[in-house]
Order: sequence, then C-alpha cells, then structure tokens
Amino acid sequence: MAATNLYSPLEPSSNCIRLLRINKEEESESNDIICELVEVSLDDVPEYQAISYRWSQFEPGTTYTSPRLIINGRDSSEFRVGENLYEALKQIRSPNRDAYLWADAICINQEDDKERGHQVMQMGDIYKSADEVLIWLGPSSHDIEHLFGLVSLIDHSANRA
Amino acid sequence: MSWCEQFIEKNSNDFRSDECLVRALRDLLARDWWSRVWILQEVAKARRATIMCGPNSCPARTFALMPLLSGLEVSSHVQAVLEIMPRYRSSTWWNSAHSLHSLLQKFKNSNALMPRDKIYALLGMSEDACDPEQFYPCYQASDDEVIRNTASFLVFGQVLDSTFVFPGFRLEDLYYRKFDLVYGVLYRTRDRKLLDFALNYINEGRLGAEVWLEGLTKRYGPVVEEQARNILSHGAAVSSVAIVNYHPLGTSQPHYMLTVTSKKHAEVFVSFNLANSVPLELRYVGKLKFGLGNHIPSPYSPEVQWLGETVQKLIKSGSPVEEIGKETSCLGMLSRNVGGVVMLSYSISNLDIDYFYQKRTSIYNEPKVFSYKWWISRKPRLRKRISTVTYSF
Repeated sequence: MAATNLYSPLEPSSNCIRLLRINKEEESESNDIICELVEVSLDDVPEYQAISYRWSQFEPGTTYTSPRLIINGRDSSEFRVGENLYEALKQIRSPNRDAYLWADAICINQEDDKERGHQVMQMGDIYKSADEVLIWLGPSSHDIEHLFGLVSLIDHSANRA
Repeated sequence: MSWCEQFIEKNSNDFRSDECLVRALRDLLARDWWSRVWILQEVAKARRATIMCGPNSCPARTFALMPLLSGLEVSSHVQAVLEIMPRYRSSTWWNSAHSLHSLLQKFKNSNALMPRDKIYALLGMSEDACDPEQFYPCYQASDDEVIRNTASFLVFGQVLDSTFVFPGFRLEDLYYRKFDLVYGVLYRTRDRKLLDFALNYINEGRLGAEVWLEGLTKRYGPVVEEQARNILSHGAAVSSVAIVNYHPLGTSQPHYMLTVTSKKHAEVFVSFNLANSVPLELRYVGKLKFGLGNHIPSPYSPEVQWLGETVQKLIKSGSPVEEIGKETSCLGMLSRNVGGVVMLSYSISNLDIDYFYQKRTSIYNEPKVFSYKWWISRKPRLRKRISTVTYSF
C-alpha cells in the first residue's frame, strides 16, 4: 500500500496539524494500542502533548505484536514507527483517558517533501503550543527511578516555597 | 543571587555524595537523544517539559539543574541543551541573543540524518532566521544549494537569488566566524555581481563593526581590542573589522592582520605578532581595491617592509625625491590571479602622484617570481603625463 494513501493532504496555508489520538487502555480488549490521526488547527488551541525522542533505525514493515499498534485501523507497519517511539507510546497510553500526542514520524507524511518542508517550519509552533513536551530518553533503571523520585521531590518543595 | 544559584546552594550538599544519583545521571546524559539536532527546538520551545524513562518521569526544569547539584561535569554540548530547558533557560545564555549563526556554532556537534537538518532544525529557535518569508526549509534543493543559501543568509542576512554565484562552501565552513565567511566570499568568488554586491554591502556599513570587534576581543584579548578601537577612532564611518591569520614568508610564527573598512573604502592594515606580544603596529593606511579574479590572501607583511626599502632604492636611483618624500596619503594593494600568474600590485599615492609596484609570480609548484616592476605616473587629473619611469630589478 502506498504511504500517500495513509494521509489526507494538509491545507498548507492553514495552521493545520495532525495529532495522534491514543485511545485509553480500557477500550481495547486485546490490549492493542489503538490510535487515530485527527486533523486540528493550532488556531483552535488544541490540548496535546508533543514528544521529543531519538529516531531509531527504522526497518520498513516492522510489526509490533505485544501489544500491537494500530493507527487508523491499519497495522503500524505501514507507518514509520521506530522501536524507540513504539516503546514511548506504550508508556504514554493512559488507562483512563485518551491521550493526544504529536510525534513527527507519524503526524508528518514523511513521503511528501513539500508537506515535510512546511511542517518543519511549523515545528516551533507545534512544540510551543503543546501543553507539555515529553522528553523520552528510553528505558529506566533502579538508579534512574531513584533519581527521578528525588528530582520530583526537589521540584515539589522548591515550587511550594 | 539568582533563583538558580540559591537553589543550588540550598540543595547541593545532599547530592554530591550520592553515587547512585551520579550513576543515573551519567547514564541518562550519555544517551543518543542529547545529540539529535531536532530536540533542540523541541526543548527550547517547550512551555513545560517532562523527562520520561520507561514508567518513570520527572519535571525537566529541575532535572536540568541536577548535573550542577551533583557536581557532575558534562560536555559543553549537553550543558547547552540543559540550558535551554524550561525555566533554567531564563538565567542562561539563551536569555541573550541567539542568531542562527551562534546556534550553528554552539550546536555543531549535533547529529542529523540529513546534513541540511543541522541547519533547518535551528531556524525556528533563532532570532534572525525564524521568518519563513526570508529563509525556509527546502527538501527539494540539493545539499550544495542549501549550504550556499545558508552562507548567503549568514553573510548578508538574506538569501540572494541564484544569479549570484557563490564560491563553494562546506557545511563545516558555516561554523566559522562571520568575518571568515565574508573573507571566503570576497577572496574566492569569481562572480562580478556577487563581488560588487559584497563590497557595496560592506561599504554601506551593514556588517556591524562593533559586533565584529567584540568577536575579535573574545578571541584575541584586550590588546587587540585596544588597538582596534584606536583604529576605529581614525574614522567614524568604519563599517567592518576583520582579522586574518597568515605566515609571513621566512618565519614560522603566525602573524595576524587586522583590516578595518570604512565607508569611504579606506583601510587600515595592522600587522602584529601575538606570539611575541609585540604591540600592534600601524603599518599603513590605504585603499583596498578588489578586482575580478581569484584573490589571494597574500603574505602582506614582508612585502610591505620590502616596499619601504624599495622606496628608498627608488629615491637613490634618482626618482623625484620631493614627490616621494611628501607624506604618503594612501597605499593600496591588489592581488589577482590571471591564468595562474599572480600579480601583486601596490600603489602609493599622495596628492600629485601614484607609484605603482607590481610583482608577478606563479601559483603553481614553487612560487616563482617572474618580474618586479615599478612605475610612477602623474595623476590623470593633472591632465598631463609628465613622466613614466619603469624600474626593473
């Protein structure tokens, strides 16, 4: 299937972007990560998070199985989702509410050079307008868990003072 | 004391001895994410940011201070990334100017899959290249075009259309200081149109002497600044300052030459030797002329010294002493490459007379001197050519 069919073109003159809606966990019986691409305009001040992550070497046609990742009813192998992003999506999915996420590999049609150029120009606005930017650094460890606990504590006390 | 300093003072004692924390930080700061060029604007634009690892997370605004708190030394690149994180950035370099050029230099160790992204990823963060009307990402152009357009923007503040033919720049060249880029354009271009544009640009005073001076001071220290300011005071209309580093023939020590261009096209050339801490010395005030051709960054200094001797020689050999003896008002230099033969021409002028000196050498293999020639001519404005004397050595 040609990748161009996965995306409907964005209106280049508007502030339109695509967001990935990651459906809440309980809606999926199979525990699959079910997502939809939705088009929104930044002018409407949508609520979303934007992810900052490292692109991993991407093998076309990679299928993830536990859980599966489904975007617009299609298997994620038709999209360019690297393993690192997949691991992040597993964590970002929330048990009780839909998450809206902007992730460049999925939300930009990477096959379309024109759209890519235009979206790259909008990138600053996309991250600026996000309610929160998620910096995904990869797997955790005991040490990291300890560090993050402490950082959160300091942050909490520093901002209460 | 800033909030940041207060914070560190209050908290740092608890962390320095905690090995587990330092280990975690080392692990995290060594991950590939930090070197990816796109993360820079993603972080710099974020209103709020959260660091995530597996199921764990913490606020970036406090995480950014952890290396300082725990006394962990990090690379300048990683530190620069921490310094653009939310809140911390309000008390770091980010708070002052960040042009595309300074960002390119600061984050030159970033990685991108496509070379052009090392430029494009910084546009939105910059203060001068964030207007898509002026400079926009283009994935249809070739790498060379992208780099050429960026060089044009860095030098002239605009992307000149493709009728201006730039000399070839590499991506790494863009990390050089601005006046190095300007010299790259002036000396290497073969395009008359671009050369004229560049000279006009300089002569209109649009290269910002003060900014350049600041750059010089940072690199070469207060001795240079003092002298440069001294030179700047010679003419109020100074438009650019540049420094070139060269090895005079027959010496092993690098010399530096400072050139100051005024709106009237006059130049002050100063040669000095930093290794010996020899104070800057004003060598001559002159006009710099550019001709079309391949300009050679020349070994000025020995030529200039030699020129003085040559003038003495001229006087001894019977040239009009009263003319040469008058205070010289102007000395110019022109070097050009015509078919592999380099011609270095000097001229000394006062109100009445021009003295020309020309040396021809080959640029191939060993520099071979073909000929020296001196001639003197009355200025055309006198409308009569009294004498032309040619001396050959």
